[in-house]
Amino acid sequence: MKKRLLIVDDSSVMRRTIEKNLANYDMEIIGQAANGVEAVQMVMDKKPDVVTLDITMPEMDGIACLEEIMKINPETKVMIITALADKLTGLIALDRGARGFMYKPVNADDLSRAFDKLLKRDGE
Amino acid sequence: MIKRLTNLPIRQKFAVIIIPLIVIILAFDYLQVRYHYLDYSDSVRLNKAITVGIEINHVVHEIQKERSISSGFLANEGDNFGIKLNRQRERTDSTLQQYYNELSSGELDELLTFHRTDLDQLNAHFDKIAALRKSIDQHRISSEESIDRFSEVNNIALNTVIKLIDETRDKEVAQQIHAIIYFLKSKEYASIERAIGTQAFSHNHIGFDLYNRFTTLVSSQNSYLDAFTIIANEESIDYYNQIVQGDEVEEVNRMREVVFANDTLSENPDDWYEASTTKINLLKRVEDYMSDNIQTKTQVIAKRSVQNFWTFLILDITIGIIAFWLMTTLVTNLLKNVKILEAYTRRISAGDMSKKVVIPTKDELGQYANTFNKMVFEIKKSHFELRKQRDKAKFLYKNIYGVSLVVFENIEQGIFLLDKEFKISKFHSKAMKEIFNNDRIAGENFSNFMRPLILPRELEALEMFMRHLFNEDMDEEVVNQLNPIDQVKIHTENNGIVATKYIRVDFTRIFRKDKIQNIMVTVSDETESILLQQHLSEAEKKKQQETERVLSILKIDPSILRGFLHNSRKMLKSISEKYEKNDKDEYSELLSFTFDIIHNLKGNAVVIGMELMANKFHEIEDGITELQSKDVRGKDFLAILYEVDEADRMIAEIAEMLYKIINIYKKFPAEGDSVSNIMVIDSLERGAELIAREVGKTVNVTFDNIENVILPEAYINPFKDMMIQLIRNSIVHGIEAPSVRMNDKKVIMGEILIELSKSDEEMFIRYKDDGRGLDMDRIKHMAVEHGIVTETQLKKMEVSQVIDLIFHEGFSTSDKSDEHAGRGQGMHLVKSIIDEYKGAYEITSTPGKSFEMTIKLPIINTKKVEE
Amino acid sequence: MESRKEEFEATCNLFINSVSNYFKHLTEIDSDMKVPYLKESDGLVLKDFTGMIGISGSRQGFVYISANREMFADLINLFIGIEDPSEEDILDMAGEISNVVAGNVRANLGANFMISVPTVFEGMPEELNIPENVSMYVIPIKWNNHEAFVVLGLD
Repeated sequence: MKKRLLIVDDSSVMRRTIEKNLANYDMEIIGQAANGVEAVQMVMDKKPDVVTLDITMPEMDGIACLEEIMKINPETKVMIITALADKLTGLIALDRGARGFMYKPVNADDLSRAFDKLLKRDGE
Repeated sequence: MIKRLTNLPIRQKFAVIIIPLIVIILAFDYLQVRYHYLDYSDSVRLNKAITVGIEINHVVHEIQKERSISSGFLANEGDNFGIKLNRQRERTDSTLQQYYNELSSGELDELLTFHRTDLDQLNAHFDKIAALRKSIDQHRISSEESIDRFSEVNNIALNTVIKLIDETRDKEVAQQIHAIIYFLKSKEYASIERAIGTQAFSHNHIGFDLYNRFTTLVSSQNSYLDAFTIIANEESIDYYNQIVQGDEVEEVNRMREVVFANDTLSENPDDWYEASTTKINLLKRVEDYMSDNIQTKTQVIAKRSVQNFWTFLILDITIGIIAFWLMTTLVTNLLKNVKILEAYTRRISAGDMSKKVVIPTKDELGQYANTFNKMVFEIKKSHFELRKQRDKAKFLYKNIYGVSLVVFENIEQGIFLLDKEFKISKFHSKAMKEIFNNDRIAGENFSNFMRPLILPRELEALEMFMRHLFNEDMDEEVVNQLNPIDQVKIHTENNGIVATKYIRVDFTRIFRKDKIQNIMVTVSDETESILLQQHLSEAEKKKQQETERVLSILKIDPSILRGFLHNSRKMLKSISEKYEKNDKDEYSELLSFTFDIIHNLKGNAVVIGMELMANKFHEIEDGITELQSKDVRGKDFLAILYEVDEADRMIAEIAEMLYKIINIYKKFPAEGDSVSNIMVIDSLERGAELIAREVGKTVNVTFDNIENVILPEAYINPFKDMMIQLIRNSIVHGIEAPSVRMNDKKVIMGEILIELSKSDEEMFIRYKDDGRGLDMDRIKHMAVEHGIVTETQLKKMEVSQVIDLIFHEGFSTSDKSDEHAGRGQGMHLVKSIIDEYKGAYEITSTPGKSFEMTIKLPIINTKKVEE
Repeated sequence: MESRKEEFEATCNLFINSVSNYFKHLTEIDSDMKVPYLKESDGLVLKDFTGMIGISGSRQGFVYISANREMFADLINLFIGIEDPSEEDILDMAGEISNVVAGNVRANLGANFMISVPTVFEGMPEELNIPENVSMYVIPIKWNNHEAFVVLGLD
């Protein structure tokens, strides 16, 4: 069964770039969110298997959003993709249940490799 | 016995073989030497014996004659032979005397001792001759008796001769000696025959007894002669046949026949005597001949023996030495090789197999050595295998614990393991103590350990980070991206002194059976490299302070300085503006543009004596020159721009400082153009002096302004810029070194004249120096070298065109570049200023005397420019 | 003087490389740096869209990444395939680049450098908060026939 992906980033360019870069990846994109509030709503509604999450976002930042997602479904694989997070923030994200972490810029190869790792662990 | 022999060491075995051989050889040598010596002494003795024998033979010969004469004397009662006898006796005595003389000559000691008895006996018989003569004189004795008595003496004498000479080891000589002996005997019988014949003819009759005796004598005589002819050598026989012949011999034979016929012997006894004496004398000649021969022969033999003796001795010694040398060489070599082998085997048995045995010879020993080496190699191989096994076992025995201890003692990094409770392992590398200045490491909780060293925020991150490292659900790579202390500043305390360090900490998971067992942590101290950078920037700050000090010392006229600063900033700014406008990426053009400006600024800085800025601009020039030889890219301009910015910053700082101290100069208010004019002249003079001092020349600048021309503000800087370039060229190229000027009978101080004048429309700047003028050949040469013109182009050019080459961009006649000349930009700058202000110029150069340039500039309205 | 110059060059290169790496990594098209020049704060001219990153810590200053609309549009086209991006997309793109470059530089500059969250604006704002006495290095970068400025101002 195809993994279902939610993309969360305040930049629509970034969201669409991720979408395009994952076109060849065996995954179904079930939605995109531009901020944390939207994201939480969509996780509740659509129960994605995988979420890519930016940290610096308006309304609700990435960490808070992550905490909410974990409350809704702790099995969700969350991949942080960010340009500006400092290390403590990154570690907090891992603490709160994120399973992957990437610094921008990311290209198609980076994404594929990261998703391979993320999903392989899940399969074990 | 045999066993004892075989057990002997090789050295002694050699001795056992060689010593008997040497003894045998020596014995043989002795025999040989002795043989040759005997040959020699034999010959010498024989020779002497023959000498004595010959003397005896002479005596015998005389006695023989005396015997015949005595016999004749007695037969006819002393009538006939009395006188003859006396004469003969004297002759006999004289030969006897010769014999005795010979005996006592002293060279015959050995011979005399050896033949004492024989000679004594002979001498006794010779002594008896006196008594016999007495008997003959008194006729108390018969003819026959006298013959017998003489014959007895002769017999003894001959026997003595035979004894003396019959002793030789040479067969040939022995044979000839026997021939002589036979011949002597035959001659003796011939002599007795003569005596008996003489007696018979004296009596005219021969009795029966006498007849018998006579015939016996003749036959004996012939049988000895036969014996002689058998054994004598051909030479002697030939000689005999040749000598013993003729009438007298025939006469003797005829008279013999008379006697044999036993008739009346009517013949004259004197005739017989004379004839047979003649024959005997002939025989005597043969005898002498043979004696001489044999003597010569023995002498030859003696000589040969001596030669043989020495030849043999020399040969023997030579061969002996060679043999000895060969023997010792071979034996020594053998013994040496044996010793090498022996030492080698001893070494091997002691366990040392590090070396091969080397025996240089290719004999059996050499082969043994090879075999040895192979054997040892095999042994070594198996030894090595054994040792490897043993070392392996040892290694396993010592285990990694031991190895890691060594590593931990020596490695520069801090290394330790963390367990799940973040406790630091018992074992950690020694460097940990040095990095953290802390002895309490083992067993400590790592976050407690780091707590006093890092910021709380970092500590919080570290704890989280470690937790994630031990979380198997998290990817190691993902976690490691977030290492909060991969580069961190720590403050360690040592005896109250706080030290700041920059460390780098890396974490690696250690698995056992697919479970994370430990985290390996490595800590590197990067303080030194980071501190080094900080030290450098501190040093730089200090330098800046120094700069300020230098500036404060400089007492540059503030209005000149202000002009310089303003102009410099404007020029520097124009660089960046030009860059901004650039859109065609003409990099090399931009470079040369930048260079021109910087070069000009450098000239200005030199003129006002601002060494600091001159150096800075020169530095920038160097950077640009370096770039000019490369394939320039946009990125390269960043460095230039930085330098330009820095120069600008320096100028800004100077300006700021100038502003602060401007009050001091307030009493010198700038009153327009004329003041600036004076300042310019003053600064040109100062600049000339400065440049001249640096190149080791002296120069005087004279400024002539009879018409009191005042340069408008707009011309001040261009005028100054042009003059600086000309002055610089004059001093560096035109004006000769003091020594050269002295030789040329010029005033040592170079003279530069600047003259201002004007007409209604134009103003004239006349510039002149008294240097060597333009070096046309060098200009041509350098122009070709710099690629400004080709040789062919040059040939078609007129003098004025050649002079114009110096205005070409990049032209320089100097080989090296320094602050003052040689960049090849100076004259180009002059020309571009003239062009910029639509002026004109004219150059006159007198070789060896002067260079002159007149510049015409249009007059501009001063006020207009000021607006 | 050398160390300061090197440090300056290293810092410049960090930004330049970060930008060119962004282009290269994401579009596989090389960018080329042109001749840089200096500007004073009053003379600064920016392109259509600009992301600004403030720098604090041991050295104070700022970095602008400025480019015309066409370049951002081209980037969007390459990333997503949209021919005609909206104004919002363009701002988005400019912010993204600034974000990433700032993030990279911070990761490499070490603890002594603090970097602010980028702000993106269009055109030339009325008030630009640029400190005085700062030389601004304008570094033009050519990518895919577009020109972008990396403007670096450090005290």
